[in-house]
Order: sequence, then C-alpha cells, then structure tokens
Amino acid sequence: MQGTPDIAQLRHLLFGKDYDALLALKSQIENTEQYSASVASVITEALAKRESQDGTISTVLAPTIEHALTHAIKSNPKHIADVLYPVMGPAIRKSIQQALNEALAHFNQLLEQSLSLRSWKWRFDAWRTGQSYAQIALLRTLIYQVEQVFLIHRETGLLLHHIVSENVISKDPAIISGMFTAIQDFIQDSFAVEGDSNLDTLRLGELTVLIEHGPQAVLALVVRGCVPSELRTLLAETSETVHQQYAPILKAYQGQNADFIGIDPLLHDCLVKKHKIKEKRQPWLAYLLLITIACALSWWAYQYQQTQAQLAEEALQAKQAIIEQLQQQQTQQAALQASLQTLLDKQQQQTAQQAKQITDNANTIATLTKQIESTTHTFEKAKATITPDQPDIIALSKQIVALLQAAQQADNILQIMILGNADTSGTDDINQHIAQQRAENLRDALIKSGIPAFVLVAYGSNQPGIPATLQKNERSIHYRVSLY
Amino acid sequence: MIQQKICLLGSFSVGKTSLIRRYVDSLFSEKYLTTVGVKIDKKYQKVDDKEYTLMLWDIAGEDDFTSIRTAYLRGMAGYIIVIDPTRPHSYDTALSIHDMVKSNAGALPAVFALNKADLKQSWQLDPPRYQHLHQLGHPVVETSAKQGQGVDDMFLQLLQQRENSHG
Repeated sequence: MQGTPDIAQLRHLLFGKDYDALLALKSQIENTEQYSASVASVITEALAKRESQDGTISTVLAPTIEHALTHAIKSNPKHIADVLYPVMGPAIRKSIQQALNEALAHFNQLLEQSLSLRSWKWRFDAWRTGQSYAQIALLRTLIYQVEQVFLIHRETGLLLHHIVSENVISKDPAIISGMFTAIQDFIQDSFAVEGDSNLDTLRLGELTVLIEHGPQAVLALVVRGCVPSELRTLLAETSETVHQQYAPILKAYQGQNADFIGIDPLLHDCLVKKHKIKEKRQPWLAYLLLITIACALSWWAYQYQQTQAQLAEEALQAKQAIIEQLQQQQTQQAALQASLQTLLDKQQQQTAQQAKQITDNANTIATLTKQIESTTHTFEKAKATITPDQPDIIALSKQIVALLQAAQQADNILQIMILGNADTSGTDDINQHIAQQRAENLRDALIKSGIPAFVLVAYGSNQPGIPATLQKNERSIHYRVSLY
Repeated sequence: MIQQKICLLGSFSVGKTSLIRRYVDSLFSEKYLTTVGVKIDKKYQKVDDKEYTLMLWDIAGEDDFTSIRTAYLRGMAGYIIVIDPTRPHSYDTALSIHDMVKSNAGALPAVFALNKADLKQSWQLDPPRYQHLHQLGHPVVETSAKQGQGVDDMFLQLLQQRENSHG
C-alpha cells in the first residue's frame, strides 16, 4: 500500500488526512497488542449486547466454561473446595430440608393412596379394567406427560439419542426410530403434494407424537394426555438449540453416537409433566396422623400419671388403714393389759384372801382343837351311859362339825381320838373295860348327833401304846385331835 | 459403537427376510413389508475391534409392477442385493436395482448375496451372468437361509468395504 514515494504523495493529495487515519487503523489491526487492547475495551459491552439480543452467548460459552471448570477442578481441587465452602453448608442444609419435605409429602401420598375414597375408586377401576393401579392413578391425575424423547438423524433415520421418563417402558428405540423415519417417508411419499411439507404430529388414543424437523436432526416427543401449545414451542426451541450446539457434529455424522452423550440434560428439559392435583398442598393427612399419635401419647401419659396417682393414693390409704389398725391394736393391747392387771390384782386379792382364809382356817382349827382337847366329859361311878341330847355333847358335836369343815377347807383329814378313862377303884380289867365302854359310847353318841364315823376313833386310855400323859385317874373322857 | 443404516434389496421372494430373520433383533411383523414397504431390524456386528449396530432396512422386493421407494434408501451406508439364482429373472432385477441405487445414492459399499445355496443344483445362473456379477466390483457371497450359511460373512464383507474406503 505504501508503494513508491511518488504514489504515496499522490495518495496524500487524493485522500488528505483520511489516509493517515486509515494507515493508523491498519497498523492497529496488524499489531496484536494494539488490536487486543482495542477489542478489550469493547468486548464486555459486545457480549452483553449479544446476550440481550438472542441469548446465544451463554449457549456458546457453556461448553467452554464446563471445560474450564473441569480443568480447574482437576488441577487444583482444594482451591475450588475453598471457594465452594461457604455455599456448600447452606446447600446441604437446603437439600436435607427438601429431602425431609419430600419424605413427608411421599408419606402423605401413601396415606392418601391407602385411605382416600378416590384411591379406592381407582383401585376398583383397576380391578374392573384389569390394568395396574399405578396406570389408573397416572391416567386419572395426569394432564400430560412427555414419556420419551427421540433425537433422530434426519438423513439416515438413525437414533442419535433417546431418553425416557421414569416408570415408562420403551421398546427398542433404535428400531422404532428407523421405522418412524420410514413411516414418515412413506406418508410423505404417499400423500404430500408440496415438496417441503413434513409430518409433524401423530396421534394414537391418548398418545401424541410431536415431531420437529430440523435441517439435520428430527426431534420427536411422545406425549401422553392433552398436549399444551407450549410443548410445541419447547420442542422447537430445543431443536434449535440442538442444531446450534451440535451443527458440526450433525453435519459430519458417521454413526458415532458417543458424540451425543452430552446432550442428555438438554433433552431432559423436554421430559415435562403436569398433574391435575397441585403438588404444593399441605400434607394434611400426614399432619393428622402425627397429631393423632401425639394425642394418643399424651392421653397415655395422662392415663399413666392418673394410674400412678391413684396407686399412690391407694398405698397411702392402705398405710393409714394399717396405722389405724395398728393404733386400734395398741389400744386393744392396752385394754388387755389393763384387764390383765385387774385380773392379776384380783388374783392377788384372791390369793391374799385365800391366805387370809387359810390363816383364819388354821386359827379356827387351832382354836377349835384347843377347845375340843380341853373339853372333858365326866361319868357317874362305874357307869358308862351317855345320852346324845346332853348339852355338852351337842356343843361338842357342833365344835367337831365346825372343825371338820375347817379341816376340809385346809385339805386336811381330821381324826379325833376319844380316850376313855376310869378311876383306880375296882379292878384293872373292869376299869379297862369301862374306860373302853365309855369311849365307844361317846363315839356312838357323836355319830348319832351327825358326826361322820371315819373322823372318830375310841380307845380306853390304859391300853398299851397310849402315851402316859393321856392316862388320867378319873371317870372321864378326853379328846385328842389329829390332822393329816 | 457405530450405527449404520444398511438396506436389504432384491426381487420378490428371493428370501431377504428369511435370510436375516435368525440373526437380528426384531420388533415389527412382516406385514409392514407389504403395507409400508419396509421393515426395520437391528443387528450387532463386530469387525476387527470396532462394534457396529446395523439398522437393517428390509425393503419390499421389486418386480415389474412395483418399484422400490427411493426415499427409504436415503442416508444408507451400504446395501445388500439378494439374488435367487433359481430364478434368473431376479438377477436382472438385481442389476436394475443396482443401477437405480447408484444413480440415486452414488457409489456405496454393496454386496451381492446369491441365496438358496442349499439348492445349488437348481441354480440357473449361466457363467456369463455370473462373471458379469463379479466384474461389478462388489463382493459376491453365497448364502443360505435354510443352513444359516454366509450371513455373517455378507455383513462382514460389507463393513470391510466401508473400512477400506475410510481407512
């Protein structure tokens, strides 16, 4: 551009100062440092502007950022861990909280399924139609659900990627994909009048297949239920994104499906579903059950406490009763002791009385013995007759009766010896005989007056064996009292 | 794992479907052949260290009154033309199919399968025709659906052509 000096001069003449500006601009572009400096001054604004226009910046940058992050994590994981540390804690807590909420909701759902009237109706329907309960429940609650997503290479009909939602059984997607393409070709061949029209919807009962034809790939959604219009929009947008991100891979496709592994999250966004019942309901049934359990527990605790209190009261009452009984027993014992004392006193009195009686008795016996032994009965000369009604005999017999009573009371056996005496006039034989006679006569007289015979023995005093002190020289009777 | 679309072509009742039936994963019944004109099966095949998933488009046979839907040939990586040598007419049909495919899809790996090898004594293929077939530049494999002969060889020959053209 410089050329010879003449040409340069000519250019100057022709363009003036603009030529200098042009040269400066050229040198700026050619100089890497200058160029990067000038791009750096606008790059942020440029990116922001483009992002606001069509949002492609994030889509384009996403793989680069992913790679950069992967590299950073591989090369220095500790640094990333340090950076993430402040967000990890809250994230984990949130996740745990969510898991708990989900568990509660799931529990509630289980309760509802087993308790609600609606679920029993569904069970009945399932039994009636021979379908599984899960299928019936799904059909009754579902507005729509995207069950499968097929990404098919348009040219070959080969399956590029396939995803299926949970609980949905899918047949061999590779074969389906091929047959699907064949049927499209068949329909297009058979019915299409315009060259560019494509099959975009298939419908079979509750199933609808939405098809979006891109330049290189066909995206198909298998939907169960009523298809909302936004699903078609979502399909078109996803197809566009796929073509944007995978354009070179799609164009050069030679059957290598490994290139499409990263597309999984993008297609997963299409697996949408909507239920009739809002998921955000309060889990009332679960709450109810928990409250019931709490109530039952508190009621049990209350009952337990009551029983304990009652038991304590009963124990107290029993204790009091025992104390009262004990007191009563003590009183009774005291009364018994008192009566025993009285009895003892009485006994002592009795004993004393008995002793006194015995003493009295002994005195009486002694007195009577003395009186009787001092009594004598005198006879006429050579006579031995006695009449029982003589006054001294009567008095004597009374004394003997009293003595006998006293002796019996003192548990003694009484024996009264009647000793007959005679004076020395006359012969010994006669005297002995008369003395004996006199004693026996007196004994008879006493027996007649009522004295028992075993108390009285009669002897003549001059008989051998009788003590000399008792042998008197007189016409009389003497008495000796013996107690055994 | 590499996926490839392979078409199976030939005149009516040359035994295309019978030939592959025992070697593939099938999902659809044969009524598709007469209704839609194609039935798709899947076959795994290992060549050297490479694993292939072959999507086999069994395309309804061509005769004087019906012709193959060319839309079904789009995007295929190769094709097998099955001939029944007991019926010489199927040889002529095979050649016309081969020409048609070449003009539609360009030069692609191909294999000619001479089926019913178990009835070789009934073959009516004269030497000039036989020679001509070999001169077309594609492998010719003798197969038998009845004896299960040559089926894997047929697929291997096809894939090896692809390997060579890519390698």
